[in-house]
Amino acid sequence: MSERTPVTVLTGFLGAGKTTLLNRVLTEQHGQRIAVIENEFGEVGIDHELVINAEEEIFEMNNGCICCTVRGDLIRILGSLMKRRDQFDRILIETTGMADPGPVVQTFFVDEDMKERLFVDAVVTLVDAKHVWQHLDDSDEVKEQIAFADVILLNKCDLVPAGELDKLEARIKGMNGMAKVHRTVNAQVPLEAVLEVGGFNLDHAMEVDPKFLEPEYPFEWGGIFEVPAGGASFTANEDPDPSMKLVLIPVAKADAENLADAREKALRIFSHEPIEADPDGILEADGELYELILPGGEMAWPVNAEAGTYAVFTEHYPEELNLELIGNAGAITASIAAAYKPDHEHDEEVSSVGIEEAGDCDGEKLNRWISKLLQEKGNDIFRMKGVFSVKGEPNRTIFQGVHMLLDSQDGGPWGERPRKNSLVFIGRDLDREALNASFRKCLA
Amino acid sequence: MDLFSPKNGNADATRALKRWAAECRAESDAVVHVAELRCHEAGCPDFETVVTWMCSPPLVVKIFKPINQITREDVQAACSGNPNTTEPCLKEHL
Repeated sequence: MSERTPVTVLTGFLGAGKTTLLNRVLTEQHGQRIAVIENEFGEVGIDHELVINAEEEIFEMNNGCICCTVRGDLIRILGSLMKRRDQFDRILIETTGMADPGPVVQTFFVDEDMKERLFVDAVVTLVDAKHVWQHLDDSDEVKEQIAFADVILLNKCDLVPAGELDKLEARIKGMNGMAKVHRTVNAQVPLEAVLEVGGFNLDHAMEVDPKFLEPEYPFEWGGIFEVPAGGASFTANEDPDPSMKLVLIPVAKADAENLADAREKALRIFSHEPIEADPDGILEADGELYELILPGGEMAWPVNAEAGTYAVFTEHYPEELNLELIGNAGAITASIAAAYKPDHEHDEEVSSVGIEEAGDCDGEKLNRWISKLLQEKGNDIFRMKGVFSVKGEPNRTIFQGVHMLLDSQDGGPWGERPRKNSLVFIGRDLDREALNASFRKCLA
Repeated sequence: MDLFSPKNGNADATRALKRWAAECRAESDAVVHVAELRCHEAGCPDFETVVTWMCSPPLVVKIFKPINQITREDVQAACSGNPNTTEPCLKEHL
């Protein structure tokens, strides 16, 4: 298996810089001989002895329950290319700007003979940082290219202000939380960042970023304050947004346990309709959700609270608007505080969902769940990966998938590690709550 | 049927199947592609192996067995238009 030939799939909208990157890969010294399968003539000509032109040919295998779409042109070319395997070390497939990466990747997933000789190292997607906004909302191809990627190059960064880049990167990470994002000009990135990725290596399925599995909240910050006798007021003097939601909840004391309990209360409260609070409006400290109106200038909201301990949760970080709680003796510092992963970075259509559940799942229930899920949502699930702890199995079950296709292997013994299930999905119209709830029913 | 049971070890069986498929159409030099699809639905066969000769247009036969249980005779029967089918997948006929 160690002699398998790595395959890099290069995607990106027309003009994003695929050919620029391809030319770099072909001309820079990296000691590898690369066979290129091209689906379109790029804006820069490529003079290379091992460039093969292909015409995209989608081929669908459908048994009624499972639909698997592969690329017939690639199967033919790879079949003949592997007869001269001694002439190259790696294959690079450049897709058209309008190509769906799904069939390309699935081509390498289904044929066991091909899988023993070839493997997809990574899907690398170039994004034109200047012009992608025009396509992010209405182009399925752009969304799918981002969703499938292991590596995303935000290219042409010199043409975009830093603040815009931050927004773009946040949106892209909301769509695909697994991909590594690099900001580039002229696709200048160390070549090992695109050629030695191991994105489809099943061993990496176990390396789900813990941050990715953190729950998401409608607030970014929470803290516990001791409000003295005589009351207090919130003050602010910056208005990065027109308004910001905030809730005050009485708690027993300032510790992590009380903060966690209050966080769960706040999660429910944040789904309520907020009460608008203009500056000088009084805030009750009893679990009402307020929307502080931020007209700018020096702003203050008196808090109607008896002396005591209160948890505060804010939609944004307090420092963004210089929010402070001021008592008789001056600013009150939170005794304990935490930042939370916000839930407002998601594209409304394509997103990533992480699930983590401790303990074992029931193998039969798991099979039924994944079978039903892939039949109903397989077309919308671009990629998935993770680790299962199956009751009665001493070893981990690691898996990854593309649309309706699953690949799995024995992940070795759990050893001293706590048994748990970690899954990540990237897809279209994923219902985070429904996925979590339905997976929990698989637990033994 | 366990959807998560690894398919490792099917590569040799796949290569044998490809050889038999090529023998069946000796006049063609089309690349042969083999895919084993697994289904967990009640009423569907657990396994469906799709053999495709990537000629133009592609020629497809299906054998309702896992790859590593398919024999040369199965492939010959499938090629002669008498595929060794069990029950077809339910939804195909809904």
